[in-house]
Amino acid sequence: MMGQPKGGLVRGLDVKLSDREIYEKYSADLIRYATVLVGPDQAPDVVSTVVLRVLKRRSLGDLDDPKAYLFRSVMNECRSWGRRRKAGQVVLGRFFEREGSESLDSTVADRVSAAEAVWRLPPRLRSAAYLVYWLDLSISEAAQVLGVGPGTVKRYVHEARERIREELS
Amino acid sequence: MSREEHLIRTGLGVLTESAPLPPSFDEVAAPPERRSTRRPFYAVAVFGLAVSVFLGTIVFGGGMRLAYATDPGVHLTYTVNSESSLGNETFKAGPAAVGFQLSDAGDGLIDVHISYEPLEGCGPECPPGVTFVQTVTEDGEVVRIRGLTEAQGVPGFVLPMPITPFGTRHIIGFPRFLGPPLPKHSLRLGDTWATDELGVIGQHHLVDQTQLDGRDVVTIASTYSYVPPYPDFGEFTATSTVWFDPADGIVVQAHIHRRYPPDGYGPNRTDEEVFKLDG
Repeated sequence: MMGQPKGGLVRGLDVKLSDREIYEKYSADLIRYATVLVGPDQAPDVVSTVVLRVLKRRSLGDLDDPKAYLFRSVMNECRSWGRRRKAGQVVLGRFFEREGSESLDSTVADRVSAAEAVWRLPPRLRSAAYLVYWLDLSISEAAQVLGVGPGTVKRYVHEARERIREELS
Repeated sequence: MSREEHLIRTGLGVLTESAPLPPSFDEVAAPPERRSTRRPFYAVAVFGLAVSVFLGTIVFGGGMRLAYATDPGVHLTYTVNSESSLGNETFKAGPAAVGFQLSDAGDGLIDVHISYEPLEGCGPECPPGVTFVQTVTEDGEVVRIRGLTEAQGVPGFVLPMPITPFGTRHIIGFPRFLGPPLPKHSLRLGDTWATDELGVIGQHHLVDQTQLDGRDVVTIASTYSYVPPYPDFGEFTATSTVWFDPADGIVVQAHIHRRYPPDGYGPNRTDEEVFKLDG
């Protein structure tokens, strides 16, 4: 898990994984993380950009904690993309294509409302919520990914809950 | 599980369901030359090191990617020579030299080691030399600054100032002159284009294009004006000479000379900036 000491994710296996193996191990999680932060259209480019940048400099296997490193890098890259693009409604449109927007029953409508509310969270809150509530990382693990203290993660998560409560009450 | 937590999980579920398949490793690991469609973007990217030194203010402009220029070990130098008169006072902010050494800060961040030294001819009005480190994203956004103790005690030496009329990328003249990244080869003598950077409108004209010492060299004449939220500071003009490495389109050097009108912001000011990628 992410909170393990240096090398825990890879070296703990006592096997030197190849770049390809490491990438394929985490790529699905990374693309979902990027999707939550910038939307499905930009997510592949974000992940590609981050991984290519690392590979230009070193092997993924040389990273102390590749998973945490890649997640942090995706988050930083998403911050950049978020500034470049005002994607809000377009992105949400893509999210809900598969939800059958023409005849929303109450369950689907609830899901859409929840997704809209989460999407409207500031990126740092959305990021913390994803790590804690979707990846089920501990507070300390999420703090390691976000590069902040555990108290800050707690505050983010609390604030996310408060905003959701206010919005959907 | 609280209701809010349930709603967050539900919302995240919807969002993650729309996630596309990740690109394959082969797609991601394609060497840069195979990603040629993005090359022009990178060609402009070196401009991202938009640093302006004026009246003791050093600003790292945000909003741009440094791309190849962020490789650890890259060294850049930047000099500025600026003068202006305001009322009865004359300000001279140069000549001064700024050196940059980039290193990998991990997590996709870059440490920019910056040294600022007034050069001979820069009077006592120049702030003393400082050395500090800015950690930035590849967009140039400053995440943290270290080693500023010496500078913090210097009046007028303010770091960072994200947006000022003279402090950001658009003032540098060249960093974003291509606006939305355009392939260098699409530029032709006589081309004109416009930029709109955070309230500074630029009109640009490619007035010369030549080769010199194996470099592609272009000269661009620009006229800038301000729109809200800035007051009407009046127009100013700039001439930018930019050296490209034809092999990869990276900008290796730029020289910008700006002139400000008598009734504009920083009246009668002129400044020159030289930006050089050393390797």
